[in-house]
Amino acid sequence: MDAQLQILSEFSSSHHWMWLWPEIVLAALALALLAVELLLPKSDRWLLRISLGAQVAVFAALIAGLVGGTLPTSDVALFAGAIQPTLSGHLMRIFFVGCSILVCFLGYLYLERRPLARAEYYHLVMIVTAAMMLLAQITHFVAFFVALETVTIGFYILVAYGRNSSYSLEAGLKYMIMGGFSSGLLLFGIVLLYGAAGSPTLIGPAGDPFQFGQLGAVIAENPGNPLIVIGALLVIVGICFKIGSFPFQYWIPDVYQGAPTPTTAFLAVSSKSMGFYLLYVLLTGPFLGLQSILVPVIGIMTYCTIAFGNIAALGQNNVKRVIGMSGVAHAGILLVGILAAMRGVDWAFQAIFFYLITYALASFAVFGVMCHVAPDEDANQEREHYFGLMQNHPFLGGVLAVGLGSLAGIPPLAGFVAKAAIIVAAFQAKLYLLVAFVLVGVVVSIFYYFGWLRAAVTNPHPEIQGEPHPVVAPSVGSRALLAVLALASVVLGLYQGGLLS
Amino acid sequence: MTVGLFHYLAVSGLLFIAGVLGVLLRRNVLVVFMSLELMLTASISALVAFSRFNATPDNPMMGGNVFVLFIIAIAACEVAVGLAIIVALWRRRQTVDLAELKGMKQ
Amino acid sequence: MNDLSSLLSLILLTPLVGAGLIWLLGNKRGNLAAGISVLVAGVIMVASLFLLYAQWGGEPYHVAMPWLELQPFRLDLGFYLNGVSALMLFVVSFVGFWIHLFSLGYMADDSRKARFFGGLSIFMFSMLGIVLAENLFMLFIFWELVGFSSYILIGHYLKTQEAASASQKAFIVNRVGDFGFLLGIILTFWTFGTTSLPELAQHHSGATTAMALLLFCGVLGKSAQMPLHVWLPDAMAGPTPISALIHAATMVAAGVFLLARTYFLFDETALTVVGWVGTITALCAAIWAFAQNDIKKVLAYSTLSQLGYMVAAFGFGTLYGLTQGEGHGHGHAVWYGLGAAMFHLTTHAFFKALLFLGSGSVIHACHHEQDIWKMGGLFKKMPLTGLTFLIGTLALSGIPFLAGFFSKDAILFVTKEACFPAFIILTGTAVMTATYMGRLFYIAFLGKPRSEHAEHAHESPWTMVLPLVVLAVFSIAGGYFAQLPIYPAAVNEFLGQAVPHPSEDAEMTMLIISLIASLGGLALAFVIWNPKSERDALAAKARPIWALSRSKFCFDEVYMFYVNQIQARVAGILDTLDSLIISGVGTRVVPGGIFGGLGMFFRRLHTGNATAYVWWFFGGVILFFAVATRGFTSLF
Repeated sequence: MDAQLQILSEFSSSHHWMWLWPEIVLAALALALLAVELLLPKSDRWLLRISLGAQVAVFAALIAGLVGGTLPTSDVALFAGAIQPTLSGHLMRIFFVGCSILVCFLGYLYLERRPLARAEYYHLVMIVTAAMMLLAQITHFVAFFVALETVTIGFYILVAYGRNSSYSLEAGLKYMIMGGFSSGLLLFGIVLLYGAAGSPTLIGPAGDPFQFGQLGAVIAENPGNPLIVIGALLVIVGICFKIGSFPFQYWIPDVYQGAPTPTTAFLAVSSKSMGFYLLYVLLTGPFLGLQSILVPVIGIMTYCTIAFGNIAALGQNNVKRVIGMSGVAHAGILLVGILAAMRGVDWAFQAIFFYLITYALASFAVFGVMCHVAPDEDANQEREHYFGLMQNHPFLGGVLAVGLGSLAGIPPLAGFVAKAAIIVAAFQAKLYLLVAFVLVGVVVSIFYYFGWLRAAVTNPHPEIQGEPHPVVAPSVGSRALLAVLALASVVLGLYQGGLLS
Repeated sequence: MTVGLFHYLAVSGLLFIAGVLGVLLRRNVLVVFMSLELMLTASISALVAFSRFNATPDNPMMGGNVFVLFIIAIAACEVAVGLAIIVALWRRRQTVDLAELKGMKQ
Repeated sequence: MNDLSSLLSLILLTPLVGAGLIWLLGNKRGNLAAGISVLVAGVIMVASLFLLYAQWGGEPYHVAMPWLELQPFRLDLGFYLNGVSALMLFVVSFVGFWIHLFSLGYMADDSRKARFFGGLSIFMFSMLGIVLAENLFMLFIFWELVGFSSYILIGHYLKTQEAASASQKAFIVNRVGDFGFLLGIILTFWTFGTTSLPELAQHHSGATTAMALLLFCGVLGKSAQMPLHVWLPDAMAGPTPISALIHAATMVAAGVFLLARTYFLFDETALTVVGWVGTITALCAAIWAFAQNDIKKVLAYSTLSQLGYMVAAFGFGTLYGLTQGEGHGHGHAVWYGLGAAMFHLTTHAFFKALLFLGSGSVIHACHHEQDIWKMGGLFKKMPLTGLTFLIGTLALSGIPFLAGFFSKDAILFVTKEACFPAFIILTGTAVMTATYMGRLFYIAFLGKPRSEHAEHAHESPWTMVLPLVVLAVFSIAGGYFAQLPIYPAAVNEFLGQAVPHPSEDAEMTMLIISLIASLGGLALAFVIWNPKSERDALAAKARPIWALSRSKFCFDEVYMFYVNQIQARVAGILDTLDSLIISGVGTRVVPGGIFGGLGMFFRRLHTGNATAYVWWFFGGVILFFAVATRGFTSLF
């Protein structure tokens, strides 16, 4: 009984709860938003201001803490080993809050023009973000699954949020079926790991097989156990579904297309980044003992992902599908970083993290422009809608150019530096063939990004294409935000600060 | 014959396969949805069995049993959200047949 | 950060800030954008002149900061100022400012001014980046940026199909050249472990012909040398100030500048190739210029031809300096090639910018009429434009004691010493240059007006005339660097060291040759194209010669054949593969058809509904497991 008491006292220790203050604040705020909407019926702008203001405050406080260096980033496990504060996890937390701010803003742009419920959107985004922030630090499969499902179920709703659009609902249903299927596999994998690692017949069975550290110890001792292998592979399949790597990327085009644009951005950036961080944690943590099995299969997956993403993106005309398929290609490049990490390149995480930041900045810039160009039916965003954008709205055109340029990796934009970092990491990991393959992929990617940009530069012939597509003029706020995003993509390309070291 | 871990796992495995096949083969969204829940149920039964059979006197392995409660809660959430989406979709499309839901193809 | 580097940063970043401001202001504030852009150009000119006159003493100056450090790779950002880049900085900032001023008048009525001036500022930024870049990689980035701004500015008149396809053509042709250039940079990096220009200048043993020729590919594209010359004449579809600034004075000369920056990487074989490419380009372009009736097209072919001169000067001049100049490859003799090329680049920038701006003034006055056969008699209507245009014509023709004479003289001298056949060709080309320029001047400015517009032409506003006068002064005085403080002292000194100078006896011979060539050419033109004639005498009387010149040796046709016949077929095959792969893999739906034969199973996968996706997913899981466990064997 003493052990249980100790766990209880650890669980209730205020010190542990204090560590989770950002998540708690976000979740509390998300609930408060629902109340605000009840109390202040006409509160469109207030909802946005409250959610943005609070998240910016959390973001600033986290950054300030990071700069001040007062954070308990030591490797002390909290909540009886369920949570492990690490520097990398903490960085991801900040990343997720930052993305959440941007998604909320895009959400405002989207909701402004549509007769949909308001408060719930911000509410869900913040709840999902809080769950992602937790996930970044969790080292226990029970908490892991609960947080992951909070994210996933939140996304079902966010994807199907456009209730008046059958595309959005259809996308929500597809995402739910695919997501449910992958969650089922993931859960089954966890259960197999639990059963195998806890079995007294193994060498040194774990007392708590859900705990990453103990699980990792068992796997290191018994790398050939079939149940462990199957379980680990199923868990990886579940996560690969989130990042959309080949062959688990089928859901991406339809869901990206049908989902409301801010949700697409949320999926493309936060959800994918979360998947990568989880993959990184698992592959360099508990699954380290399965290297000999996992390195080859993930290597092959990387080749296929890069090839598939780039080829498929070439044939798309709907810009959301282009973003989706190009996102698959980006996932392939990030997988290269993961492989480098698995092969012991010590700064691979920095390269991955930097890539995620640049990808987020550039993607949000592009999504921001998409929110302004999107027609009423959010799913039908064709390349043709961009005709004449550069002439009629040079600001949006410029932001689009910077965003796409950074995604394509054009020097000196941030995306170029990020790709260079990943490539150098892969070079150090002696993945020479993969480096060549990535380079080819990058060249191919320039074609479809440039095709999109060309549409923006081209002026439509009124007789052939008709009048230019109506574009919502950006407000001062969105101008400022988009300018910051574009500028950040340029500045990070020229000066990386300490992010790469 | 005593019923051991293997039997429980066999049942769990069969449930899981049934769930997978249901998702793969059925076209009615509701049935597909039930099949997804079946996959979760398979995990639950395996979890309980592992908890029971891996327990030793000094390690009761209660974690698995606790996890089951969480999974049930999550499954309930999923159902709530899923049915809501299906109902909304029915209102717009008047169909629950997966084969007819292909509005987005290029 | 000392004074010099902060001043250089100011020069480089001012146009970027200006472009950013213009972008933020949006499309509506055209006049404000124009003001900002001209102001920026003024700041650049003042800062550059201040730097060159008062701050920089002539010692090569080099500063770099690490941009991207990923051991073992390192990329730097930095400045490298030496004689070559100082001269180029002078040209770009000085000529650039006057062209900006000219644009103020020329583009006054344009509806898309903001875009135009924003593009100009971006161009200034990129061009200055090329001039100051410390390493090849940085240079390449700016190289692409000038290409991009040129692409935008050529396509300024979006209404015309011609402008759109010209900008496309420029873009594609330049990509071809830049591909080779990039390979050259990578090869350089691979060989030396650095692309820093000052470091390469110190240790360049190990440079190969292949490396030099790959770098030269970039020059082929940007400086429009044969066979990648086809884009430049078409680029004249852009506004005339753009033609003056980008497609005559600065950007197209960037190729020559690149050669001068990397001269130490070129060995004798490469130099011979470079020299002959330049010579042939000079000759062919001069031939083609005869049959052009568009005032800008004549000047465009003349630009091509003069660029050929510069490239030939670099090739043969360096060859001469390496093998037989005083000191045989030591001292300043190795600079002879780049000296002659850069000298001609400078004088050419003055008089060709003058000619283009003059033609702009004419076009402006004639309500956008560009056909010289619809002009005539303009000298009386627009005396200042006419006079300055005449000065430009004479300078380009190489009339003694104008700027063009000195630089062409230096080129002919080194070519004579290094390769006599090329000397003959280039001298012949000089005659032709004088001839087609004479033709242009006689027909457009003398005689009687041949159209309504020419009848009512009148002098342009001061913003357009003042640049003409300034550039005319430099077209006259630009050659006297040895006698007059026409350039900043350090630049004068550099030119004095680098420009090859014939000895006393040879000088007289060269003078006579130049005199005969230029005056003979002008006289010949007068005989053939009498200013009073109404129609093209060459086309009427010597049809075959005219047709040959007009055909431009069918480069365009050959390329179009390639694009239409070969590339289109390859693209067709790719397209088929594309639809096969993309549709086949499942993001697109192939209804029955191709995969129908594979039966019900596959058809189920391709119906595009959620069930199909789950099937794919399931298949993916199986595949993933199979690969991970080597066909499931490792599980048992």
